[in-house]
Amino acid sequence: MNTNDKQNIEQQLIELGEAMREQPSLADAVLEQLAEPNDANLSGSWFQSIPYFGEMTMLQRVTFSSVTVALILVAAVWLISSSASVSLAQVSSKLKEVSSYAVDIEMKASHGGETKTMATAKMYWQAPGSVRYESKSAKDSPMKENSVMIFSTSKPGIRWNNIRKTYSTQPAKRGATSPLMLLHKLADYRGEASKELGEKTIDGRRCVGFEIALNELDASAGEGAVTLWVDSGESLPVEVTMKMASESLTMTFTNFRWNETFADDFFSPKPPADYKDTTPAPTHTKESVALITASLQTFADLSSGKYPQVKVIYGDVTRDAARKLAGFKGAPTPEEMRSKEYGKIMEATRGWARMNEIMATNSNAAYYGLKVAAKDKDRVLFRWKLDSGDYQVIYGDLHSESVTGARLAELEQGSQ
Amino acid sequence: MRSTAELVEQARAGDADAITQLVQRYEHTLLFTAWAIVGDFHHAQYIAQESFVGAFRNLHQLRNSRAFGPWLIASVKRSANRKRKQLPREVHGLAMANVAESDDASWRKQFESLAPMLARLPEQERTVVSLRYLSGMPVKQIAEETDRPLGTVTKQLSRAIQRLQTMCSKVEE
Repeated sequence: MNTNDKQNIEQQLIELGEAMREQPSLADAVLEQLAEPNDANLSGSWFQSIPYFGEMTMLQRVTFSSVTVALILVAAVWLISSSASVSLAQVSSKLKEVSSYAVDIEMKASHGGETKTMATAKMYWQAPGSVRYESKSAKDSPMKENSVMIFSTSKPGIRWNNIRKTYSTQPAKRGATSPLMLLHKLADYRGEASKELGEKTIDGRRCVGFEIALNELDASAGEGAVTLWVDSGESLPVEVTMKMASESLTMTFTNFRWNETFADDFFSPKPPADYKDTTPAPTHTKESVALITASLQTFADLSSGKYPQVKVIYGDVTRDAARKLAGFKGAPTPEEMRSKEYGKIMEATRGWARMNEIMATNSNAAYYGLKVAAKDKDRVLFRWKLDSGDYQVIYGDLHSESVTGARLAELEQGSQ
Repeated sequence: MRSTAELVEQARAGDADAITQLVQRYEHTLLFTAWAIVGDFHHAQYIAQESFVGAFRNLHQLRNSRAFGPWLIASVKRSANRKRKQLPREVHGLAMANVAESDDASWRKQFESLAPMLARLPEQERTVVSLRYLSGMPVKQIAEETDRPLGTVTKQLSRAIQRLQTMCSKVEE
């Protein structure tokens, strides 16, 4: 063999290897996936289906946290209104007096009739809207998840990882976060419990139980059920259980400590000393538009030109809706997970998660999927305000441009 | 540099840094190994990632930490072979080998041009070539990882390069 040729093929291989090793590693994706609640014995269960959508998994956690805050304090007020054995005025009055609380959370996954604890957490809430969420994986998990997330509606938040000793800052949630976060508004909500569960004793306390649909609390939050047990004497929640219909996941909240006093810096978004900042660089508008339009196209392809039928996009909820449209039922099988269609939905989830991120942090973002479909070429489907003061607009046919505020007003006048 | 066996022991204890290093050490070999079977970049990435996650979740099943590499590669082969059976012939047929997603990144083009030839190497040679060149592993370490004598690895690499050159010549003709 010609020596030069041999060197040439070797050189090509060396260059290819170097180029491949310069690409982003799968390591973060693998760690992120391992950090999700998991159980090696539960093959095919939902958590094994998440490849790498950092935004989505974060979103999922925030969603859970948000839901939790509201459910505990507000759903109680609302639900108790239908109970003859507990006075609504009494419960409402009690809950409105609550200025803070702490609660223990246990996350369980079920598969094949077997239920196992995946993770535990402690959540702390303080008026008017500061949340601290500390989560740990179950003891038998190979990946020891141990993270803290602090966020609020008024100032930037933070999340740090005690194992990797890293942190990332999170923008303030000034945008359209779930109404479940807006406690005072939810307190005014009046609805029906889907089921009254009667009475039972929990830790020696007589409790009244109710079941409600999760999407009754937030129409964009997907299907699921919430079970609430309230101390009939004290008129405060004793146990709350939330079950997501699309996943075999149940979260149970117990051991409420009301009106806890926290240290001054307990909700401070300050990382522990010596932790490394891994906050990702802001996403460029062009990249966001490409990601979002591709994901909306995926959804429209699955639903005959319609976009997600919600007012607020959540990455995980939209992913579940798309899975359902594509014919995936329940927890996906390993074969389904490896299918191209499933992979496409998981890829699109990054775009939906990006939309949620924009909506949660940008007070001038709006999504009109309930009224605008793929056929509506020039109607505004999604828009948000740019740092320049202009607005980025994505239309029904998914073309996009930036426009002035005045032009946006014209576009939206009478059509949205 | 920590040995694979050391990293595996630390990964068993949940050390994220050890997991990161193990992924970085093997990801390119896994990606290529999966690609060589399914012939689809998109699927190969999923398979590689799933194999890592599955491996770390099942580390308790690995008795000999030194055998992590071959154990991992065997796992990705099983997954890729299962996937291959589900894919239409034109996707995994090497004659139709393609990079599934359109991407004009130069490394993807390089990968696209070299990977079909690498995929035609005998399995043992394919493994040492991908560990040596794609993962950038020293020859001595490959010998340790694959539990083969150093001389065997050197010979396999040499034969593999020779075969690749022959393939190149045929293509050029």
